[in-house]
Amino acid sequence: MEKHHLVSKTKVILIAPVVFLSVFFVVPVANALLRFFRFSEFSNVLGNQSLRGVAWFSLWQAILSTLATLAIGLPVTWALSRFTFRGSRIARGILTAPFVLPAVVVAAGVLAISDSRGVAPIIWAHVVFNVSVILRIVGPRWTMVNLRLEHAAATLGARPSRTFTLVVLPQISDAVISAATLVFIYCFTSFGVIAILGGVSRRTLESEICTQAVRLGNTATATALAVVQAIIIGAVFFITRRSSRSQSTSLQVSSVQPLQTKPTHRATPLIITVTAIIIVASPLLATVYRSLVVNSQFSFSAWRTIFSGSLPALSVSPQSVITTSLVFAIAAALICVPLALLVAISSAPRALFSLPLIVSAATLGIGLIISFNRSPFSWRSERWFIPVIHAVIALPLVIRALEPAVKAIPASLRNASATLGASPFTTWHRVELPLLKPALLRATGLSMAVSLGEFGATSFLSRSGSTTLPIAIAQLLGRPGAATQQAGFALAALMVLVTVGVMSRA
Amino acid sequence: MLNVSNLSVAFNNRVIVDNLSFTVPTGETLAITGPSGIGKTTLLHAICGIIRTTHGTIHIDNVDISALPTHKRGIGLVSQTGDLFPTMTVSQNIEFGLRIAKISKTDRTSRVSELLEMVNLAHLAHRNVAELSGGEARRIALARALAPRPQVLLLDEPLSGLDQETHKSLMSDLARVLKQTTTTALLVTHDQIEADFLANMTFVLPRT
Amino acid sequence: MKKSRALAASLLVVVASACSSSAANTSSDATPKEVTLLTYDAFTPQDKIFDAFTAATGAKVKVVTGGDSGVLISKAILTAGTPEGDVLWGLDNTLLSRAQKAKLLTSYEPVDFGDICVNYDKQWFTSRSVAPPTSLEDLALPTYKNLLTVQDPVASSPGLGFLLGTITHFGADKWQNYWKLLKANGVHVSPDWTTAYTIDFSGSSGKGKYPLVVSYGSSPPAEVLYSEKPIDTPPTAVIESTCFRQTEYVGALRGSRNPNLAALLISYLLDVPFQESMPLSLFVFPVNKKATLPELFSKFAVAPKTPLTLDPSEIEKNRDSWLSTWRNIIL
Repeated sequence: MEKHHLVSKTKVILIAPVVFLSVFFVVPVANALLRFFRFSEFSNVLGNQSLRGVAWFSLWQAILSTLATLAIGLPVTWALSRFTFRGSRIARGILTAPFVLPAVVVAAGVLAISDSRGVAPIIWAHVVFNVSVILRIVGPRWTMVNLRLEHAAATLGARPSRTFTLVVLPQISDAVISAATLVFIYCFTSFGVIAILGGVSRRTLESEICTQAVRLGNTATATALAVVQAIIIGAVFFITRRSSRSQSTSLQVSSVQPLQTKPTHRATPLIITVTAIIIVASPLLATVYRSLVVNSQFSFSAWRTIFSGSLPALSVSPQSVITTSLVFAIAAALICVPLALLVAISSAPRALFSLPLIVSAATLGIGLIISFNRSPFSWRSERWFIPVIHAVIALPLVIRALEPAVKAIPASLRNASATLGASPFTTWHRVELPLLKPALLRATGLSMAVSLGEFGATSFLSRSGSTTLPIAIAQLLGRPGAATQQAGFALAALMVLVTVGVMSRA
Repeated sequence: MLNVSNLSVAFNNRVIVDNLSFTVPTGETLAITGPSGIGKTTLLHAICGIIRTTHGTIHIDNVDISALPTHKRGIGLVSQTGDLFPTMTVSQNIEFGLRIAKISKTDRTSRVSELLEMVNLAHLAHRNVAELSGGEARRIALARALAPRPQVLLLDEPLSGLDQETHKSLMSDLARVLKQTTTTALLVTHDQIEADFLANMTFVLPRT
Repeated sequence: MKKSRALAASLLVVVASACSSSAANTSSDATPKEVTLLTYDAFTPQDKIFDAFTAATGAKVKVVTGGDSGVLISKAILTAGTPEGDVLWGLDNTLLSRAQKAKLLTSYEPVDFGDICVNYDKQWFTSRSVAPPTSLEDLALPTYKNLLTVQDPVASSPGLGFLLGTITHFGADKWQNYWKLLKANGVHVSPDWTTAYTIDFSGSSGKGKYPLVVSYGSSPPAEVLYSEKPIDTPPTAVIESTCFRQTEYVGALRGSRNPNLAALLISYLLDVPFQESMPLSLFVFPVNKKATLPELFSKFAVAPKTPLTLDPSEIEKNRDSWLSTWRNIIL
């Protein structure tokens, strides 16, 4: 594989990301494990019949959800990476918006339309959340596939589907596997969606870990379950690493061209995109609907309240909630993106940096509480701690989103720059970084999205006057009273609109 | 036989190919020349269906193929950039069209060897395409396009950008291959000498 | 460029740690300017209610929130002895024993109470000319089939309260049978209060399928206070005989750095002004008998004189087995 010339300085580049991850992730998790893991409890858990059933359910619903997400996500990624048409930017924003929403909002939207609970609505909700992952990770890679290769395959008699399977897929397979693995993990560790749409009989390992740790105070059982979950996820990682090919070819970057011909296919990208939007956005529409209509009456009052008023059900004003969330999101992006870039260019093994995906939010949360409780490290109530943890959680995703862009910079460019007298640092600064700008912008948008929607590990952290959007929405929906609930949906709808706006640009 | 009638191609209100008509008898080679940028590549892309035409028809052996998608036209293309599939070896590239046509493995293998012989690169059968030199890649691209025995073969500046040595040897190999196969060929080049050497007929694409 | 960012980050770490106060546990207060109240996210006191306290003592009240009551207590237990704050608000009778076992508090007392009761959608029943149920037994009748939604007692505090209410009412050996009847009668179990009330309950903005929901005795006045358009009477009402008493406690955290201020804050919380502000800001009843109730509350909130109650130590002793028995019945 083409190695970046800065790779010779790999060790130096990686200092910052490794230290960051060690302090804010490895140490707390290790602490939690050391304090609470009991091997006896672990073997108990392994032998427990009903827990085995829970693990099995977590697994198969995640697999089905991943397949469904790919089935919808890949075609629409093709449509949006290959073609530009009116509305394709907004489409991109709409498809990414659900990623930031709290599970309760999406689940309520799905329920409003499907009117029933069960596995199918669960899968639907998972698709709604995760199409964005496919779009953000496979999309950049797909735009780099040389269109001329597809023409060549056509002149050799391959119809479009065969061209895809034989020529395009091998080139994007790494990105597809990477995205699919992430989607699997998100679905496997899914909590809120399953609780609301699955009913009490459907539990995942993640919800069981939370229940044991928080509701029942059985930290030993919770930790044992977390280890089981980590083993399963680790196994999935291992399998997918095996099957991803080592790309020995350098990517030929081609600029995205709107396809001028294929008379029979003109409408296809549009149809695919509209279908995907219907599937993904309809629950969002239900959210907007509930922010505007109560008791069959239409009213803007909830929207007016969140922009101008105060809500007694919240201890802070809606504006300050929005501001807090945005500040945290920007801060998280400022921390996460540079670190992710360092990891992406170093082409270091991803294992360490994928750890936040493997460990359950509850374990991290508990670890954070016990590790950062005493001075000089009593940071767990500090404001800045929250965006730091958001950055930890966003890191694996952002690294994967940056990889294609980093790998796409041809060596010939660097060589040309060197022959013109530029030092490696100057080449990096003046030649490569500008090329990475679009990817960095997208990565920033992505880490902001993760931060805006984060509700897992950070719910274990305490806040003083710094409520974030997901927490505020949960608080508003957690009260009786039509006005408060409507305001909760309005806040959620606002999140959607802002995300659509930001994500269509990035 | 390839027949092109009143073919026009336009982009953004700019006419690139204007009302072009010509016929290439079966087995013959027509060379189209003209300076760079005049639309020769566009013409080839239009003929094999990659680009939409504004009007005109294309017939192969009196069958109108103008409405068919590229993969059904039976027209091979050797592009200026070779466009070998990077994730496949040389042999895998060459046999691509045969796999699509569901030719059996044994038949595929023999056809691939035959073509590798034809372009004098039998020793590169299992090489990864990233390791090929410019000239070698052109030959493999040619072999790949010929493998499924297309009725018509289009060649876009097949000898451009090569050093003198490679140019000479590829030119004579290409001439030999074109004579050996019964494929009707359409070749575009800016080099008149190349055109005269490789083709039976030439014409100059007029400026629009 | 990247290295300077790393440098900045490490500088930040150093500065941050320098700024955090030392862990010295002294018997006298460390910095007499601030006292920290640790509580759950849903704690929304009346605006400026702590001004009087600050005026009297010179200390600001910092409210630190983190999760719901279950999360709050779990976190506090994890760090018992080195707490995040000085006063803890959020323990109820179902969690009290857990806190006592972990020696979380140096002292505690009741600060408010409320009841977990079945609420019903008045309009649903009147429009169908069906009389709403009036007792726990009624809920198992075929007349009310598929109409009740409850919350998972493992994850939800009202869910647990309702379960404990049924255990108290029917007795340790008969409650299982009751739940079997409920299950046969189509009881729906939601994961938490929000899903049950905001999505499944027909009497709220979600217009769900279930006109009967487990909620609080104080939910009807909240429906009036936070209604879309001004209304005089709540759209919902409470079935009094299903009410289970939930008492909330406030306590001083062991190991707090401001024990004196903590004591002062606790007295303030138990005093009339704060207690009178609670009904319409926190939707609970004051324990202070001298506090007067606002009209909305006295008219529509329900707090029966003899609700179902269970001793906290009983709860602690049997909770786990009760929960797993319940699980086996329902699943």
